[in-house]
Amino acid sequence: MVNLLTYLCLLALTVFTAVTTSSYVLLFSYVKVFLVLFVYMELREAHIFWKVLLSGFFAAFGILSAALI
Amino acid sequence: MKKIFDPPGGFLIWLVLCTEFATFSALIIILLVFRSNNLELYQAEANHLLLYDGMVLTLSLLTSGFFAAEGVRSYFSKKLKACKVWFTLSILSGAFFLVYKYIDYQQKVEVGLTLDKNDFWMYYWLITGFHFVHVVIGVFILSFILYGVSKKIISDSNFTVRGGVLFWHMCDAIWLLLFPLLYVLKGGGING
Repeated sequence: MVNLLTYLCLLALTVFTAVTTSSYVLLFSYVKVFLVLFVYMELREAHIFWKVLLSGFFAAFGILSAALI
Repeated sequence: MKKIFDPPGGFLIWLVLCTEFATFSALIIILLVFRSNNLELYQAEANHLLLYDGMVLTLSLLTSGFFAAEGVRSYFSKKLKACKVWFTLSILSGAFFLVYKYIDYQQKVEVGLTLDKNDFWMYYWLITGFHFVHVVIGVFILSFILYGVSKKIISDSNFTVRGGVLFWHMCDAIWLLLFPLLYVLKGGGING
């Protein structure tokens, strides 16, 4: 059920990314990446260290790429 | 302390994932720097990439990722019949991505949008080609999992099933970053 809801959310965000004229398309993509990481990748069961590591990495990457756009 | 070095799928696959994410991130940053320095060229060349194609490719990978996630869930719930169906669907969706992208590559070559045309296409072929190779490897891994589940020869299910599918999700996640950069963001800056 969690997988299905995540999948539907990912689909909705993908369609929204494509049809919106908003400049925050990258932000929607980061939300999608987090959904994939934390739900599909079963990171829910991982140690907090991995959650912090990947969250920190993508947050830093998101800020850096947004600054370059 | 033990749990840190025993993440889902095993430590080795997370080491691989972190390395892959770091490599792709570096490539994406290089593309972004190129974009900010050559905005007009980037916009003109990116217009050759159709949003429709990007959507189809993204949806096929996301769908495949969902099927694979369901396959893992079925496997650890001991529903092997359902597991085989989910993994078969996942492989088919992944294969669809490869065929669609291959046709897309062929069309690009036919109209002269090749690696040596200019820097934009060099980065395009380098990054998407690198990702394409990962998807090929991912489809092989999923096929191996399906074979192992069918023949009941999987000994380390955490590493083989979970770890293999984690690699596949990495391909999803990377594409989710490439999709907006190549197919959506054709405007000139954060405001458009």
